[in-house]
Amino acid sequence: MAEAHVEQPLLHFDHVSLMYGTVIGVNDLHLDLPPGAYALVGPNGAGKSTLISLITGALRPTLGHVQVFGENPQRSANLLRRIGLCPASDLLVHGVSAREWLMLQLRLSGFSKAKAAQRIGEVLELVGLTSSQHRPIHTFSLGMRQRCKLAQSIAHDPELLILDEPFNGLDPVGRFQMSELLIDWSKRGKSLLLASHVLHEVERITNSFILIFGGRLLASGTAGELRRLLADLPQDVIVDSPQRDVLAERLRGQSWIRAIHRDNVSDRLVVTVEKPLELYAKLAEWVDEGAIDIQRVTGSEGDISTLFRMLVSKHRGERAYQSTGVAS
Amino acid sequence: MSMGNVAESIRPIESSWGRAASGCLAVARYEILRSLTLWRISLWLAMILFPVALVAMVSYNVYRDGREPPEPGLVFTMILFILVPEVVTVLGMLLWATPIVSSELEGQTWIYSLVRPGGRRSVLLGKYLVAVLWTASCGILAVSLAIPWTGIKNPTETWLVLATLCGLSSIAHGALFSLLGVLFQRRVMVIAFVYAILVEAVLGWIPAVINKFTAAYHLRSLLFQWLDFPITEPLRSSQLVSDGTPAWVHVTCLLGGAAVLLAVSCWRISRCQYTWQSDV
Repeated sequence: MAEAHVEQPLLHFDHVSLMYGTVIGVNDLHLDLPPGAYALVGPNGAGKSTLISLITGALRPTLGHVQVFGENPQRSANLLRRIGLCPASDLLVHGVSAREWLMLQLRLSGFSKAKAAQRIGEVLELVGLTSSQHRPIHTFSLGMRQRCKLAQSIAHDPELLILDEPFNGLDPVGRFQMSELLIDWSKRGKSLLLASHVLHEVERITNSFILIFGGRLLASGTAGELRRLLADLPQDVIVDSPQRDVLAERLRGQSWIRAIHRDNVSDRLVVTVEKPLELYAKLAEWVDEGAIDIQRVTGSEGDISTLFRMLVSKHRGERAYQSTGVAS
Repeated sequence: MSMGNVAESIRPIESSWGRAASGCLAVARYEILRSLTLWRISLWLAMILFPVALVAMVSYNVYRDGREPPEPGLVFTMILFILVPEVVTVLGMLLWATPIVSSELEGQTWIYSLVRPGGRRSVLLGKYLVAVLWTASCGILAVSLAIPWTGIKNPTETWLVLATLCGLSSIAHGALFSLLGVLFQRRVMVIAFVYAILVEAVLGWIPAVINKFTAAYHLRSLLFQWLDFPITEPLRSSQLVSDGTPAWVHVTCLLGGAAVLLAVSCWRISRCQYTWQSDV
């Protein structure tokens, strides 16, 4: 049974669009993902939660088709047994303890009372809520409620764990523990979809990213693949050189230069370049010849967040220079 | 921290019917547990005591001079019937069955039911079951406490009939208000209240064929049949009570209607896209 599942893709979005009345939630999304761990990254309102709702079958696409493990989430109730969801919304449950609430969730997943009780003990231990299991949930701190949400999402041992902003409300220790737990989950060969608007938090957990903005897929792939993609995009490169004017004059003649700006900081040039690799090669050549002294070159591929800003900027049709946030 | 696999011995139930029944009972248990609050119990007690208090006051006024009305059985039974299987039950269902979905959406807990196999239907049926239990128990206790005040000559028989009607009314009205709760996401309480006034209070008492489509008509007809009340003019011509239709037809209409409404609710709830989040 488990082997049959392995052959199927984790997610298949076939030109999916979803409209909330006249507002576009997801716009012509086409995506195929094999099982694995992915970070779904985008700013607030990018469509992450909508995408998750499509995966869980809570929403039906206006156009296109969604498949999870080869099945339509709208039509297959059994598929839900293979998915665990930890939503972004706060857990607002009054008058019941964590144990009672988890009991309900597991009973709804089809566990008998005795089996659910056994599993609840294990999962509460895992998220560190054993000592608070009989306390009403509404007396929990935000971090404890977050852990309680995580407990219900993994209690039925799903194959795909979906977490929407799981680090919200967690203190540094809680964030570390959550990261460790998710890394462990991935190591066990289980699939993970982690939605976040904070990139550095998810970079520790996975190297595969799905970047969305405005309901559209900006890019997907590993950090390396995305950086290679960036190399082909116009981007800003900051060059610090005491011979700034000489350098500007040399660059002016190159066909792949789009714009050159003198920055407010002395000795700094911000170069908007269509082929960054050509620029790097040329700078290395000039330095090697002793023609120019260069102190520092800062490219856009420093971290994945810069890449994300670049892609968003491209999507918005803005100039690359503006996207880096460097003062002119 | 490390995540262990679920042992084979604690795997979930495979049968969908078994899972549905288990889920439904789990929701019912959870809802009962959650509703044992001071506010809810006070409301339940208030709904029991208000018909009892009204009947006691009427009884005091009727019997205070030592006189007895010509037909105390009919008068007090009708008062009790209107107050309990009609008003208390409708009010109970308005409070407990109508917000089946809206309370989940407002409490942001709907999403957890969505991602469980059959979770939506289990929530609907489990909450319906609890609403019927709360309301029927409320009605039956109210009837039990009110009957001793009435001076009715056949109290056991009257209690049995009114208690049965409370149960039937809870089942039928519960299904009706649950459907309203499933159909309407916003202002559902207002819609249900308007429905209760227009259909159950006004339409149900209009002397025309149309009142036959209300639960109140079937409940009234059963009351008259089971307690052998005479259907005289102008009651006969006004068509407020059925004359000649067997009791089992009315019971079938109430229970069958409830089953159909619940089936429609189940169908609707498993397909409806409720929105509960602001993040688009």
